[in-house]
Amino acid sequence: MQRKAFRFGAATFAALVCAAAALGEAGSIELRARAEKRLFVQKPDGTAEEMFVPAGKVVPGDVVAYTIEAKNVSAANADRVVITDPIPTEMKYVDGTAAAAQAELLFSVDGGFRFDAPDKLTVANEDGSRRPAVASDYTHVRWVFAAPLAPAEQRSVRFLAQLE
Amino acid sequence: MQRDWKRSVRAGVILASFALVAAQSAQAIGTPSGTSIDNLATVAYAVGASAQPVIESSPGGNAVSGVGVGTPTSFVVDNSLDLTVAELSGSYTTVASGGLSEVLVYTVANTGNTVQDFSLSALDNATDPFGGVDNFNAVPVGIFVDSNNNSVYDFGVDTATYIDELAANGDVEVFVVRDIGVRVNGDISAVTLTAQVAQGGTAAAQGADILTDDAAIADNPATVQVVFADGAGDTDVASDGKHSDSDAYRVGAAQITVAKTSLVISDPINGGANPKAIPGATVEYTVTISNGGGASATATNVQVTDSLNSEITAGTVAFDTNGYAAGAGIQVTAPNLYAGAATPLTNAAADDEGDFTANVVTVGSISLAAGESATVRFRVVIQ
Repeated sequence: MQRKAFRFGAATFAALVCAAAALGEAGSIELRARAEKRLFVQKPDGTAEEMFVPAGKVVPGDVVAYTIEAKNVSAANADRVVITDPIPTEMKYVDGTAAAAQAELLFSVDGGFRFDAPDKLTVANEDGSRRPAVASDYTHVRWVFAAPLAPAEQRSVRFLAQLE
Repeated sequence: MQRDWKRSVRAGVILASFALVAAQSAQAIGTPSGTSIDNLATVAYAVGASAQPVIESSPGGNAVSGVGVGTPTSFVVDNSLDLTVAELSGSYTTVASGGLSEVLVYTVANTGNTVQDFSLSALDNATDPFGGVDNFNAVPVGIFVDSNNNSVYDFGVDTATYIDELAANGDVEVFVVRDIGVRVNGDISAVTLTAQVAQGGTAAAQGADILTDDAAIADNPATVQVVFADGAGDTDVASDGKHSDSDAYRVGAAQITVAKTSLVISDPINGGANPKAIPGATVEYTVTISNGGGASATATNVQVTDSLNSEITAGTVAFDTNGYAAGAGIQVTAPNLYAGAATPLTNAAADDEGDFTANVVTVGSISLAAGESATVRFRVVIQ
């Protein structure tokens, strides 16, 4: 039974099991998330430079970058680090923008129920058949780190999403 | 252990179906202003072999474990103001010299993400949008919103002079109404309609015009700010909270000419061979109407009447009530009726376009574009 549970989502499972016992205690990782709007600023030579400003003025069509920083604030290694971020329902993931060194990138198309590599995800058509998932189908992004997060080490991951 | 697993699976299913519904509703229109977009990342990890409780993110950083401890990174969707004004006909609106309350039709669309009011103004434009020469200014009567959404200006019904509470992605027709004055054919009056975005949210009250956006004000993720997103119109620039388009009146008149000919088609002695106009002979009258009005105007609802009253009462002729079919003494050939084919019309009133009542032949509902013509035929018998 335990093996089956892990297939549905090891992180979620582990979190729920242990949350009741340790709720509110200081953990090993400090997690910070920020949202920034993408702008293109015209340079004197006519080219446009991409820049990011804090997401204050955002209207439909704007692209927002979410950056999540994880820092180990404990004295011990943190192993099997998995960062999960839901894509807001009003936004669509911009294809190819989530990447992080040393991490395996997984997505969910069913509200965070099941995660897999992009090429293994499918979505049901109206007639019941299934088609390969595309970027706009993604509901969650997940980064699975192979290497432990050492004390004081910080890693950040990022993705872009467009407001509908 | 087993119970916990089931619970986590159920939670996942509920989450999934909720996300699907939300995604569909968000697709219909741009995300409405004021919507808070929240994002809460989580990290799961282990120390050695021991899985640790999940930690949620916060904008400033959170290291306290547990679900519900983190703080979402949020911003509210701002108010994107965007609108489009477009004249509908794509060409001149033909009017007659002296015409009163002539209508130019526009649509105004709210392409922003919030319910807005729009104030309206129409100004003379010296530039004819269709390439002609603007040479007069029609006299303003008013600008009215198509309140009952029937695409026709209804006097006394379409009385609103501003657009009230137009939903995001909604559009409405607007009528510019003007009097033409005494002009000659070919005269052109161009008019530009400008819509200005105004504060929405209060029904049946005109909101204040929104004249500046918050470009000069620092971004604030917690408040709804105003962003002009409109393109440039005919007489306004991009990102000014306005949009405009031009249309034009052109004076033109249909020039209807009428010709009437007669032909004896049979007599009691010769039959159909070289018939003569003798008592008992049948004579066919052909009334031909033509629109020679250059290229300017289509004549609609043309009615042809021909009274035989004096002849019939004097006893010189009798109307042939069955001239083209039983009970059908009239024949019409018109481009807009019966696909242009010669068609019998009954003598009775109200059942088709023609009737023979009180010794008068009447045929109505004929439309003639420039250069077209129609014929009405009927027969009499010489007494």
